[in-house]
Amino acid sequence: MTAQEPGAVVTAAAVTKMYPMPGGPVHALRGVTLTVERGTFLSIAGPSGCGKSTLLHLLGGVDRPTTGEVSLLGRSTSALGESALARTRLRHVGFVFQRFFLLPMLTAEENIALPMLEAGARTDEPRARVRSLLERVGLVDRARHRPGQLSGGELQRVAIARALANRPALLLADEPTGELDEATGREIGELLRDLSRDGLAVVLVTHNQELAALATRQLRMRDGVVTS
Amino acid sequence: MGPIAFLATRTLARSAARSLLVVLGLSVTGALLLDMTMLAGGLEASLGAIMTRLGFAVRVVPHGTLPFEGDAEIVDGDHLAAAIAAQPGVAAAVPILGTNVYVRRGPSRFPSFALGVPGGTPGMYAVFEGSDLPAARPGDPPVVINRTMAQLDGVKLGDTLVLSGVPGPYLQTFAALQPVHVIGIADFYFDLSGQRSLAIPTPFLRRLRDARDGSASVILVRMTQPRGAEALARWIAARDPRVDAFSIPGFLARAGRRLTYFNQFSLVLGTISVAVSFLLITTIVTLSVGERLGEIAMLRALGFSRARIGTLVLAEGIVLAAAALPGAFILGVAIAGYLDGILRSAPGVPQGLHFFTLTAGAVTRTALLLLGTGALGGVYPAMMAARQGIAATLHREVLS
Repeated sequence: MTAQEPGAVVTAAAVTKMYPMPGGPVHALRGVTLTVERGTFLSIAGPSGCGKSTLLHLLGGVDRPTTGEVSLLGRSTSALGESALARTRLRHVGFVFQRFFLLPMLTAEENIALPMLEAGARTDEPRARVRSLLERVGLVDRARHRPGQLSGGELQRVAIARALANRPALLLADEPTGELDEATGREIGELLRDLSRDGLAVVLVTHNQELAALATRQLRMRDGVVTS
Repeated sequence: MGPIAFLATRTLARSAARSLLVVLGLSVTGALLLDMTMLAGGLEASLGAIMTRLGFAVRVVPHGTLPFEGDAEIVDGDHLAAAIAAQPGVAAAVPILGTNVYVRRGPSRFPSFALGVPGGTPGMYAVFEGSDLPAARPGDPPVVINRTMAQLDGVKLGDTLVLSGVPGPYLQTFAALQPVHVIGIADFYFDLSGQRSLAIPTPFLRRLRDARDGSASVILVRMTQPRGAEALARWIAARDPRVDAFSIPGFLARAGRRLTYFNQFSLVLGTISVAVSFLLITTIVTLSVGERLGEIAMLRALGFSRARIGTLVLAEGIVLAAAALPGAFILGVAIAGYLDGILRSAPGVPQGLHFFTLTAGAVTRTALLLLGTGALGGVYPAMMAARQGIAATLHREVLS
């Protein structure tokens, strides 16, 4: 455990990330410090390659900082072993990706139930939870549809429902509207905002200024540094 | 069904045609594997089944031979049989003489294998028409003939045959002739294909063969407590070094040593079939993993650990192998039946023996080998899937 502000879901303290490359190391993050509390809707904007997604991955524990520390619910991700970190992601973090990454051979409800089953939920529990999540994202009538039968907006709603399956404390969305039209993108942004109002900490990485403006707290990044 | 098996099954169903082709391929290699497993222990299993059915727990033969192998004899077989019969746990010790004789029936002459048995010796043949040899009978000695002699030579119950130890009318002028009376027709358990056989009371066969009184080719021992067979075999061998005594497992071990080429043959072809199955599974699962690196990175991000992802990919290999099992068994049994027919039609093969024997052991070994190959085939792609970095893969997928 590390010291963490009360109400903080995730903190980054002087985090750097460096990738060794044949032509010399690439510094993706240069000393980022950040705290995300419950109920926060934080957007991170900035040009391509500025380190937004890298920061998101570090906050979600899918990668570890080169230096500095990321604490997720009070526990340093660098101190956790691979499977403990995976377990933390499974139970406390939800991910939404630009490309949805729904499994095409599963129905919408099966995709949503997957994290619950992996977390060891019993048969009846996921069924009720999936139903409630489908209601939350407005897709009850699409429960038995496979990804190939859904529109882009519906796919992203299913992905959001999947991210919420294990009642995470933190939802990380990496360009969730990147493959959606403007109206659908706005609907997704509003859904994320509503989720943060329900107490979830939401971090949104986006190029879209209009979407970023929906957030209660906005950050801009450039060259691996938070500029505002 | 846990999420791993569920996902593995659904993943394979996703590319149904490709998975079906792989399963068909694995069914073929699995069939070959089953056949080789059946062949590896088939003769021993078949022989063991027959021997167990016959009910003799111990067999005593001249040292260094197998029953009816050549003309070797146990010189004082009757005495040894009596000594064995006196041992505790022994129900009966039956000396049997085996030799070739020549049969004359009217103008026709033909060779036959003859068993000299005490009257009423169950276990060497099964009478299906007429009756078995009685303990004693006045007049021409009775014989039981085999089905082949009845069919090929038209010998019937009540017919009289003349037996001789030598072939041809000129030699027979100087040799003993023995008229016999056919009282039964039977299936002899160890007849070769097309072989004529007959059973006759031992004294008459000794006389025909000019053999010493008390000589025997083999002594068959029936026990009330078959568990004591090994100890009895040791006692017999220690008592008379001119003989070898075998319990059924001991006998099968000696017979097995003479059949090692079957084991070597099955080992080579079985190994090839395992190797082909392994390559097939590794190739297809590696291809499949390569196509869904983004999905795998997503599963890792969602909270599937490296070990779970590795298990998922291994499970895909195992599911492919498991799906091939029914086809492998059906095809394997069909091919084994065909090959067994070919091998059994070769000269010198006893009729009751099978080269390919479907046993629970063969089925279990094949299933475990195929499933193990499935798991092994998944190792490389599992490592590939588990080792990939989540962030880097997600980044690549977005850019692609």
